[in-house]
Amino acid sequence: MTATIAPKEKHHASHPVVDESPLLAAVIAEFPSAGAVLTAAKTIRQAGWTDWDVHSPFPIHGIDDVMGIRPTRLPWITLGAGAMGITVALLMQWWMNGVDYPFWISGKPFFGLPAAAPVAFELMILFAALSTIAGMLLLNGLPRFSNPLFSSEGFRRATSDRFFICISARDPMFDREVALKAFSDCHATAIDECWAPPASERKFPKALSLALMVLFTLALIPPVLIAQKRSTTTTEPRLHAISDMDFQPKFKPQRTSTLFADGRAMRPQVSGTVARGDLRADSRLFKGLEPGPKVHRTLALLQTAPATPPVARLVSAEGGPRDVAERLVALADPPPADPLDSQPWVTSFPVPVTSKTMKRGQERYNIYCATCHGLAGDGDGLVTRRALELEQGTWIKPTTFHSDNLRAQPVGRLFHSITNGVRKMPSYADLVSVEDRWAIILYVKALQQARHADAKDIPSDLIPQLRDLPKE
Amino acid sequence: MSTVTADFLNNTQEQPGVRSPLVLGRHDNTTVTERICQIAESPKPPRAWYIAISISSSFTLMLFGLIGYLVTTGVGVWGNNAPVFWAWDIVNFVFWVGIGHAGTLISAILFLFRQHWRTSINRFAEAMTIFAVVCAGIFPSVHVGRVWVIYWLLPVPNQNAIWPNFRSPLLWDVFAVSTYATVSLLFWYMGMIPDIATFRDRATSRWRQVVYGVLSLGWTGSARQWHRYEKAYLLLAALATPLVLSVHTVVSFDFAVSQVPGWHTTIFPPYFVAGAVFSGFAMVVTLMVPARAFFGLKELVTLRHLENMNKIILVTGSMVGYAYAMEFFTAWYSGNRYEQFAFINRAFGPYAWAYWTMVTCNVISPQLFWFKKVRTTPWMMVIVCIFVNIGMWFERFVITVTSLSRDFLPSSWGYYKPTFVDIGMFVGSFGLFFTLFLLFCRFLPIVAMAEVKSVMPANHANEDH
Ligand code: HEC
Repeated sequence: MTATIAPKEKHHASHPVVDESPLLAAVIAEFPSAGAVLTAAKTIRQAGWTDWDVHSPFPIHGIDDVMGIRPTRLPWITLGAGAMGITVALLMQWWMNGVDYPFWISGKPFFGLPAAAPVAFELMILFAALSTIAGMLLLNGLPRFSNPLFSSEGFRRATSDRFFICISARDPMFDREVALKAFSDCHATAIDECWAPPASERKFPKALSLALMVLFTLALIPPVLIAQKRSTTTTEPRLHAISDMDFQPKFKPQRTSTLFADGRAMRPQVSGTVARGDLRADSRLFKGLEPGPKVHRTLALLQTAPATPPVARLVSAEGGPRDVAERLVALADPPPADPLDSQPWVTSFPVPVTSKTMKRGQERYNIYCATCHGLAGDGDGLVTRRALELEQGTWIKPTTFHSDNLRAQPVGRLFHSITNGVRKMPSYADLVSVEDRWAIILYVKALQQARHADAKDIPSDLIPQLRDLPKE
Repeated sequence: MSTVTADFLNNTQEQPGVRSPLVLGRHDNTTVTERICQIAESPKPPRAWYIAISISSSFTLMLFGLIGYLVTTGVGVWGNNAPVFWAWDIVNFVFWVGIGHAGTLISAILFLFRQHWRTSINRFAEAMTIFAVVCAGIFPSVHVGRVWVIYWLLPVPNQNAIWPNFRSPLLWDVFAVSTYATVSLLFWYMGMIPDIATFRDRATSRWRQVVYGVLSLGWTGSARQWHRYEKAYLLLAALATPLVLSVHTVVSFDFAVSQVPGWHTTIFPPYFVAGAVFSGFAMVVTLMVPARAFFGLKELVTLRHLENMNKIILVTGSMVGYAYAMEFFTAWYSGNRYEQFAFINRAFGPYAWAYWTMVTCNVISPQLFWFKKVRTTPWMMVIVCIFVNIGMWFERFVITVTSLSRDFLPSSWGYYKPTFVDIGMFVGSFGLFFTLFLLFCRFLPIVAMAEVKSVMPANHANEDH
């Protein structure tokens, strides 16, 4: 298999070549074994060739020394990339979780080395591995799809079972005859020439480059669009490729619906049903009223009673406390025939009256009522005092519990007051459960009684303790 | 050695002072190339290949069909529900990732330890790694539910202006597994470049020339190329070794960093890594034994190779058994009632059947490898290895499901049952795995020819010239 496949019979090897003719790129020699090529390589190197290489199907042990190949820089690339991976990972985690979007999670610090270690480690490996492979390929001049060596039919066995030495035409002392002679001196089993295609054929195909340019331009459109969307504001909802839960088909309150004959989306309660938790049949417990159908209607009317508008006006009224006081007088002007006075209020507690209930009532009272009404019910709680100090025009001093009126009120009416609110005082139904409301009233009753008690009312064994109380 | 084939192919006998040959038969560079290339070059693969791939690809189709069903319907099509929110999806993920680890172990760790016997099995095992990781990746990817926003897992800017939480082991897992997949794929590919170049140079049809030509990147096998290539291979092996250990460590963090009794233990990382190697080697043996018979590779993948792998299975299997025992000891020694309950519940609770299946398959069955007869008889080792694989799947099931089904709050205890989607997807993942494998066997060099040639005695004797 000597130089048989020289293309087009044009042998202008060592002379300056016209563009259109193939160029002699290298001469190659074939050897049957790793040992043979190793010996030949020694000879070639001694002969002073510099631009030459050995090709083998597997790495030949010891070839580096014979050829004088210096250790590659690759490990340094790996090291640098690994260090960069760690740095990038730590900076990324610190910036993303510690600076740009800090949020508490399980009480962990925004950024801490222990939690950052796994990702730093993985990125170190990733960066190092990617650049090792990329570095190896680039240093090796790969990918390279057009190589004059491939023009030799025999060279194909370089990746299977034959060993080759190739002397490049770029070697300063290259001469075809000399190179061929050198090979035959090394007992090469075959010699061949490798031709590079003429320069005109090596040009990048025009159609392909055009197509690539068009593709590149098209590929730019999405990022440009995204950048434009991200940098401008709009009152329209954001564009979501997949809207997920952005738009949920449902009826909103007070909308119409074609589903029902009455055209309402909100459905009225089905008659004869009770909503969960709304079964409040025990009138004594839930309303503080002795049962009876008439009563309910009256009270229902009361809920929307015209008590509210004047209060609303009062709240929005501007001016000092005197101003407010005048208005209050004006409000009270038509002598009140209070419908509440004539209700069948319960007079006994619908809950067990025990010292446990009393304790509970005291606790709840101190939490929910004392701020305004004062610990003893005199209407001098901290909030009240502060409001009066600031001369808050809209503030109304809570009624003292020790007035004759309030002392005379049945417990049912007191319950009604905290359940539904009374004039300026809001309802406490949302904050205090039914049982707790009764407990509070029990305690209020106790407070009232305390003002009018004398030593007889106190168990005799407790009297000595009273003496120990500090005198005011 | 006598000329009787059985003995001739048996290189498992130790001869003091003599290294057992790694390649048997009268092989030289030419015959090795021929033997391996012919698998991919024969104009038509054997009929069995067609049968196998039609079965496996129909399972693959089923897998993708079920994934489509899941994506369009929601993850509720699985049996996962309160309190067992992690079930077969995570079990399958850990199972497949673990299987993948043997490939990296063979190609990287054994390379660093200069175990030359790895050369004829490493390509095969690495391919298995890639395909196993592909199967593994499917489960966590679809279990997020809304797969179209899966990029939220990655630190890329998104419309919510939110960054991922780097303090979560689940995010570490994203990084670990994707790094592992990338590096394994590149390592595998880089290892194949010289062999693909061989395919390119032997190609007779135009399309083979073009495809293999592009894939081999213009490799010419020059000494300078080999020099950098070998250095890169060494560096990658050195990088892949800690990587493979880290991957299963991080996978175990998914469990160990949580508070769930039975998960929250420090033994998890080493125990998971040992388990991964254990299951991975079992899978390599399961696949290798039929493949070497089928493709006529008995002289390259010798009994000694198989025996070595079985020894590793024995060692890692014993480590796993030790870990099981140690978990119980730790639970008892910790004095923590919840931990103790978790383990008693594992062994004697409603999932006792799974626990004892696991123990039988993982602890008892590999102990058979103490017998040389079992270690060196292909059909026996395949049976043991299949048991190991079953056992390792159950291990993950036991860890994931028993712990979740009964944790701190007895009022929310439950019993997990898979649906047909769970089962179909698991079976389908095997279909995908084998489909990829059969394609690999048909189109790529299944044995690292260049590496095998470099360990053949004939190519070393010549050095003395
Ligand atoms: C935000 C301060 C505030 C709190 C807290 C408060 N009240 Fe009052 N309460 C008032 C004011 C103000 C009035 C007088 C309303 C008016 O006359 O317009 C009042 C009046 C009353 C009255 C008299 C009703 C009547 O018929 O005259 C009772 C009884 C009463 N409160 C009980 C309570 C109880 C029990 C609590 C604890 C659950 C409570 N209040 C908590 C401010 C408060």
